[in-house]
Amino acid sequence: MAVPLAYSYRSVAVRKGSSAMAVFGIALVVVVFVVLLALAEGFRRAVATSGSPRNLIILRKGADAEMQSQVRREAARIIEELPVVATGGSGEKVFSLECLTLINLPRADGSGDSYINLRGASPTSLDVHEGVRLREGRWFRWGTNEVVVGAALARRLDNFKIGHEFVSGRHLFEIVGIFESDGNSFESEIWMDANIFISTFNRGDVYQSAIFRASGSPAEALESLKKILDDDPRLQSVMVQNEKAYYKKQSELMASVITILGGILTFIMAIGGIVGAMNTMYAAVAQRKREIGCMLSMGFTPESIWIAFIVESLCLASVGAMIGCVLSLVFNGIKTGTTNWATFSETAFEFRVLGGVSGLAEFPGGILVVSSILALSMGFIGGFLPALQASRLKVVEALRRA
Amino acid sequence: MAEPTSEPIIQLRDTTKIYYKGGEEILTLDHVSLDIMEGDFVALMGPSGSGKTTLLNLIGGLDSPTGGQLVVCGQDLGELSPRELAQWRANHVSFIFQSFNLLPVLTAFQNVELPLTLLPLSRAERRQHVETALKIVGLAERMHHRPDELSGGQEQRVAIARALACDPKLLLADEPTGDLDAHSAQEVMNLLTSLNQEHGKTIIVVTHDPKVAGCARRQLHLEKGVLALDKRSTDRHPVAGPRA
Repeated sequence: MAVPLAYSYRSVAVRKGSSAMAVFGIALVVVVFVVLLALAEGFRRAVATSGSPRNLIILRKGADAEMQSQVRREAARIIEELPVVATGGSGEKVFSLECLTLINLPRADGSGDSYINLRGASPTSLDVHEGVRLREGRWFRWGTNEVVVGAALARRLDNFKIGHEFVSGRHLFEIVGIFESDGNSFESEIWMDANIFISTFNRGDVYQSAIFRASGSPAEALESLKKILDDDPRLQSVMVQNEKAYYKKQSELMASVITILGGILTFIMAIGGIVGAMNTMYAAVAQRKREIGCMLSMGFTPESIWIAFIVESLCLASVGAMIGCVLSLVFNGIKTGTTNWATFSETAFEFRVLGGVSGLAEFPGGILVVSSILALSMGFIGGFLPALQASRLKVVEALRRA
Repeated sequence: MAEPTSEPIIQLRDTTKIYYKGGEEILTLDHVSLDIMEGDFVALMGPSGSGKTTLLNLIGGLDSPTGGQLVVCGQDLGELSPRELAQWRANHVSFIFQSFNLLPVLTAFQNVELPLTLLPLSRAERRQHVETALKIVGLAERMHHRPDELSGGQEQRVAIARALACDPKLLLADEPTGDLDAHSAQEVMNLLTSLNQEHGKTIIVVTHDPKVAGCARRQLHLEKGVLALDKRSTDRHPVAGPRA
């Protein structure tokens, strides 16, 4: 029979000072862990949600990112005519040829340059990229040096406002609008007319990608197009993949780096938290030897004593987890940005404290659940040895008056 | 008034206890043979280090003898594993300590209920046992108070209620009045005496206090681990004094 739970959870409050220190240590680890996971999740979500599962993307064979890709207009036109490409309401193919380059622009705060994706869009780009919509100003006029700027970029760079101009190389661009795209990585880009892009940057008939809406099932269209690309000698230089899968892959490197570095930092901090919990629990056992002896004398088994002290340590950790989770909510939604190592371009995103953990707890609140489990694990590990010491006390020794 | 029966509830035969400290052998109980009858009230006396508490711990199954035989409530305690001994304690014996040893985070009710959680009783049955025990010690109205809200005498009475709650045959008390003022000590001894006389509990009390020992029917004096004197008292102190 177990010692009543009330004994365990009420005992947490008995040694207020040392319990508070242990709780604080655990809460601190939880805050750091939550924030790092929220950072990785925010980045992953910004990039991974950029693509549509209904779209397929054509890139040069072997290219890991659009920036390394070259797709010739001739090859793209052959694909555009295939039945795997969906047709829009006006009878036009939902097919967009797009160019991409990195331009470096000084940050408004003088903290250096940002490398920004400049995308040359075609008239069908908005049909292909469904979530992209204008928020302020107007779209650029075709055949001009006008550009529209993603909302996340406009937020991060103070000098990116409607009416402002910027110079890249020898070219002057005028900002006429700001667009949004559900917070994904398109919001970290600048868009302009693809034809002006090509003449400005001397690209000839080479684009970076062709993106289109699949006709029917995207999976079947993908398999069908893969076979066509394998068989058609004119299309040997390109490959196809699902746009959603492409962007998910783009997010993995950076998100993994953040998660791994965050994991190492959390591990080191967690050791401190465990030691704090262990000290508190050792002190609790030392202070309550006679209580332990008394319970043993009544007939409670050493196992039930062990469980009582483990539960007490878990209660300590639960309080730490709750405080840590609540404190970390302050970071939710804070906007930041970093260079995506897969594309070398600036990607703006926000901390997603209430998000999930990719591959582990992919549901809303997953980060808080995983962090709470970490805190409870710290409590368990920190309480294990003191609880063992408590359970191994000889009843006669434990009852002896100091 | 209950009198001791002719049935021994405790039998010691050449019982020996040796402790080892720093490689040195310390003989705490030296071939003690003794019978204690059911319903008796025994005071264990003797100077410090004479083996009183050791004998009490052996009888209560908190420790095991090094040699000889020890039968309590019909069970040879030497035959039990530590787990069986814990179960045996839960069913047959209760302790009252000098420093009460109440769990400070639990209320009087919860402290008294604690040993009952080891028995196969429903919540309602446990409640009934606790209320009865607290009523016997005169603290029914303080059941929701924590130990730090009670006086020393009241704490010890709660400890007695905890010992009573399981309705054990055997109550073992180690200096139960040692931490109490004279008035509270008198109340506690009145209570123990009435438990012996009215409820037929077998009680063994370790004490240095002749007044406490005077409440007992039988006084056992230990010296250097040997039973030096076994005296049956005919002149017991009367149960007296108010109950707070």
